[in-house]
Amino acid sequence: MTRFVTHDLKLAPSLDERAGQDFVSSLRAHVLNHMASNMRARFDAEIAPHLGTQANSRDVLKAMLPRPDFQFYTATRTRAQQMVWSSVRATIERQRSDLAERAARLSQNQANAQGSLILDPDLAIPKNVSAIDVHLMPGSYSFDGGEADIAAGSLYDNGLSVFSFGLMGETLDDIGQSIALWLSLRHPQFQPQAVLDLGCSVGHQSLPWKRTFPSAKVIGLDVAPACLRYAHARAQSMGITAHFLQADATAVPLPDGSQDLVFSSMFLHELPADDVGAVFREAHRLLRPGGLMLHYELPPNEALSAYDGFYLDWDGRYNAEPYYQSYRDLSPPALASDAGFAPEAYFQAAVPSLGWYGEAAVRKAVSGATDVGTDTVGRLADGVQWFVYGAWKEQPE
Amino acid sequence: MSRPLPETARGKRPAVFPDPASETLLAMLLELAREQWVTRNRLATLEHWAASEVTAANTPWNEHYRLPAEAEAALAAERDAFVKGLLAPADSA
Repeated sequence: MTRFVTHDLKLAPSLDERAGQDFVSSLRAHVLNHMASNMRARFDAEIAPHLGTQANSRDVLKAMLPRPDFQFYTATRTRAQQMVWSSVRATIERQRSDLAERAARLSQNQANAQGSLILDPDLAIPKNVSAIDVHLMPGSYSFDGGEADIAAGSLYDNGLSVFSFGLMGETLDDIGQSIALWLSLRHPQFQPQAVLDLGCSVGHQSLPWKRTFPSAKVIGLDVAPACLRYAHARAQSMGITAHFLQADATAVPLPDGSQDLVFSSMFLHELPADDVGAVFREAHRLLRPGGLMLHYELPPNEALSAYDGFYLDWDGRYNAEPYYQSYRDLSPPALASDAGFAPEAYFQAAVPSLGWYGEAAVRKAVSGATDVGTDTVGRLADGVQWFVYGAWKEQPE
Repeated sequence: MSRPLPETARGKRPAVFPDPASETLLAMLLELAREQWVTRNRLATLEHWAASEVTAANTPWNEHYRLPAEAEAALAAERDAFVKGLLAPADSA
């Protein structure tokens, strides 16, 4: 198995394949910690003093492009990203039929969990998914080898295991676990009975909502069929009842006012800007009065320094994330307001990682006192914390 | 399931180095380093198995032999140091 995929769809890599995966994880950790810190220190010492106070992320990029430290950082990080996927691909291909059979058995076994899967073979996969191998993942989320195939889901799950080198928790769901705990502590009176996770891929961050709110009906929605088959089988394997639905988040086939919580996790930045607005409007339509829209995402450009904006823009330029920059140019409060949420209903917060800092840190963050630095968040943080924002749907007087 | 997973991602990315061959050479170096580490890992695992009287005496070598946690942690530290040394020249580039 890869280190953080231990459920019943786990792989059986050879000794050498596992060693190769560990090497890639170490390589990524070195690039994102040591090389990134070194590059930042040299920027501060050698470039920042010569940039004007009005410099933006594009000015920083222009200054960095000819520098060997940036070039080595970029070339190494790009190759490491490609090696993430290649480190698990051969194992998946070798076990592909067995994986499909295991997934089918898990999906049919209702003894441990009573989840469901609804696929729509007529759904047109949006081009932002079908035409782009986002974050250099060969085939993207939407690769589908036909009935019962789960290869794309396995590629994503196991690739993320290698990619994250432990940052996303033992079961790759630290984001969902941390945010669900934070919400339950911050708003103990809020007990959602219907939770919708938009762009759920393999359901990593869907299942923590069921754990935190056991009486809730949790639905994970995505356009990618093989990822959803995998998500369903994974949930059944973990004994968590969740439902998975193939649909486009800009046109969700669920009734108005049917959801208490509409959530997403690192999903919006993979959409064209117009679609982000459509998702916000769908969230508002789907929520009951008093319901909550909540997104875990990249922080907006307006909240970032020029260097931090440049650092995140890297993914747009080199990591097949074409909407990264345009997403961060958007204003979440304005998007929420345009979708129908009251301006005063908007909020944002930094949630400490449950896995890294423990429940006490999340409780401290809820109370407003925290030992975890909040000047940077998500992928820019010194530690690990998750940037969330959202809005409550108004209750009638 | 007749179609295999694609091996590479679609799309082009901007050149990084003035000479594109530099990026190709770096990619080759990293692939070679991965293979070097795979070999080192296999050797360390075999050495541990061979040095363990219990397993070597009673259990034939097999691919599922795993290092105990302490030895695995030591090897992980060695791996991190290997990567750091490999890329150290880039620190002063």
